[in-house]
Amino acid sequence: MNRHTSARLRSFLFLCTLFSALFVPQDALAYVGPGAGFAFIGSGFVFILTLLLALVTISFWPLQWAWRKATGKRISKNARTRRVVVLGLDGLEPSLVDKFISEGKLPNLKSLSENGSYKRLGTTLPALSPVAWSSFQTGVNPGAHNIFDFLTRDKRLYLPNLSSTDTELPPPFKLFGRWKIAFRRPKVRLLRKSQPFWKILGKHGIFSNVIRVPISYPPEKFFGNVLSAMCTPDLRGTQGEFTVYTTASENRNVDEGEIKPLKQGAAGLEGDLIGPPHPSGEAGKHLTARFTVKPNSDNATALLTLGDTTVTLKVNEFSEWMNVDFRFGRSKISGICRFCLRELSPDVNLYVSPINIDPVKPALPISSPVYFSTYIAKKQGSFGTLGLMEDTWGRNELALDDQRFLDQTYLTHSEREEMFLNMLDKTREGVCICVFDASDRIQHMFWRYMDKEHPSPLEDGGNFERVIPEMYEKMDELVGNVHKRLNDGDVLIVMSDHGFASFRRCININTWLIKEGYLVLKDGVEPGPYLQGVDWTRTKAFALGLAGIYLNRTGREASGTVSEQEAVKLKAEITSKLKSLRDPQGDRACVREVYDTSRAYRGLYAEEAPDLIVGYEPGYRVSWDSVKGVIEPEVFSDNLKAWSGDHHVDPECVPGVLFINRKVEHSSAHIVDIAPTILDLFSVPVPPYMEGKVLL
Amino acid sequence: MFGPKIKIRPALMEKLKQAAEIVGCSSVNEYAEKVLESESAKVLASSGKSAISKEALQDITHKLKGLGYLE
Repeated sequence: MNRHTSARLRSFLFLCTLFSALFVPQDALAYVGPGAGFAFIGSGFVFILTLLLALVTISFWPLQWAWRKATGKRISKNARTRRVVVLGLDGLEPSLVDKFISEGKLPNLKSLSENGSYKRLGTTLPALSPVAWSSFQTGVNPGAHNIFDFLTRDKRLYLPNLSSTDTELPPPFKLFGRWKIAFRRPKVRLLRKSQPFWKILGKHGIFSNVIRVPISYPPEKFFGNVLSAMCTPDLRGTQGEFTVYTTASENRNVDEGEIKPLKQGAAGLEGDLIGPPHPSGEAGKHLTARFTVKPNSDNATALLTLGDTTVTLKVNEFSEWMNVDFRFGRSKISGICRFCLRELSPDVNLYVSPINIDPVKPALPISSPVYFSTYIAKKQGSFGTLGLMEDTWGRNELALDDQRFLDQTYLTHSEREEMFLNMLDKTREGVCICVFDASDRIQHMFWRYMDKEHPSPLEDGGNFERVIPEMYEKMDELVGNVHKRLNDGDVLIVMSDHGFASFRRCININTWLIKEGYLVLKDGVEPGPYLQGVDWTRTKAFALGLAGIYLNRTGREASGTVSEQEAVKLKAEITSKLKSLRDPQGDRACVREVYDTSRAYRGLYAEEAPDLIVGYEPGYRVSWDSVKGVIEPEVFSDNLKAWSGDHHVDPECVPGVLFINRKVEHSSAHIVDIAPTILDLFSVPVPPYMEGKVLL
Repeated sequence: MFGPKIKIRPALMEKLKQAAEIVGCSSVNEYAEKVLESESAKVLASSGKSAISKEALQDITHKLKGLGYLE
């Protein structure tokens, strides 16, 4: 071929390419991501952006410093401390703290109570972590911060939704004709309103490091660092979806839910990790990443290969975090997960944790500034980023046993302890806060070992009665580790957001409402989840979520039937009937109080609350099915799940704890008091809308 | 930067600022959004119940998966 011919061929090919690029209709897909979409932000772009931001921040630091000096934005001379440390131990129960202190098991907490203060800490209505930690942050009641439960409801569809975040996915952007770009970057909104106290401190030049405080996703910008916690999704867009891979495909329904097949391939047993939804938007289609498992002849280990990495898995031990890339064209989304080989014979069973957003290359913002999570991961190695890290669902469904659940919980706890102590060392002045979840999750899952009357089955041979007492001792050691790092004049606050109680019996509030005639089903229609099958034109009240009962109000709900005047009478009637409700098993009272939220809440968002909140007696909770709007045949049932302890009872029965290394003169303390107390310690004016009192 | 904008008289803006501060909103934006959302929700509610699509049910089931208090 001569030069002339070659040039003509190149020109011809170029024209063909140009023609097909311009005139052949096709989809130009560029979006990759879960549910609401992760887009190209998950690629190397974000890494480069992170570096650039870091450089810009460093170069602007002298200017910022000079600006703060000039504007007087720094810790006031009148401040009563230079540093406040808040150690949140979710769900620490005061009666157990008292018991273990008296038994000499909690020397550090005992010392804090003797040299400072120890009190019950009043919690929110209802006593749920998202509600209570939101009041901690903002210093206001739920009516002013808009978080009343894990769930809220859509007034037009009567469907539940997550209460803390709202994700909007814009429609695919169309150019013209069939040409479209499927790039869709989700817009995630935080629905917790008002403002956290660290934002107010930041406006006065006081820096805060805020680590894993519930209801901080998506992270808000302020003068400080924040790492998001509860309700941060996994890479699939769920609250944490585990998967079990198995060769026992003939015995289990492997096409449904969280169980997937392991199939013999050329390189060993092959499985596909399920990643974010496919960018094409096709329902049920996900990006995947293949892994292989090769059992070794010792029948105790196997080789796992994922991407370029091969590791040895031991039966019943968790792997380190492993990186997984989900590729689409030239883009990729990064995640991390842990494997646990549950069984090698007769079948191979492999547990895979929910696929977490990679903190080094976060596909969605999980920290502010965005490079904060990268910084932590570079400092201490990869770490879990999911909101609810401990896989309670996996344990309830027997994908994990008690010991594996405990191992997973303490792996998370160790990561967080390292993270917190590192950041504490870096916080020379200002505020450093971290919330630990192990105390809550362990009590949820192991309460049945302490409660001899609990109907849930126990596992043999694990000495699990020791788990809760040992957890309290571990938390006390953590308090000791923090205490060692304090300087003179530092203020240390150790607190829990609520206490704990047993959860033996379930109450299906929707079934009760049907029996009492307040909730009506359509004739001849089988009821389904999320109140499907309800005749809204004849219904007066319904329950969704853990916390409350909603009236079907005219002018508020789409098919409302209850007027403003009727509502008052109806609330009184339901309250009276519920308070006299008795469990036929043992003829016991099960409802301690019913709260009318129009009296209990104040604030701009009070109208979003359920109309009534049921304060159960300890031992009772709303049933698993009732939370999701499923009607059961009976109102009462035994709780047979491993999740055997809970705190969704009357808030008066489950206060949290408060330890401070200074004397508190007030006789009582409430979770809304913490925010104004910290502001006042730094001599920052407490905004008039805050409801709590200054404790110190 | 390129999102929808609404023009508001300066005098009304001042009132919104004051109200937002009193009720403890983080910004005037939060307050204005809440007020507009409440009013539009009332109007929409009176227009009747929307049909629930299969996709809406799947979407909510997917989002809530793994929330320990529900599973």
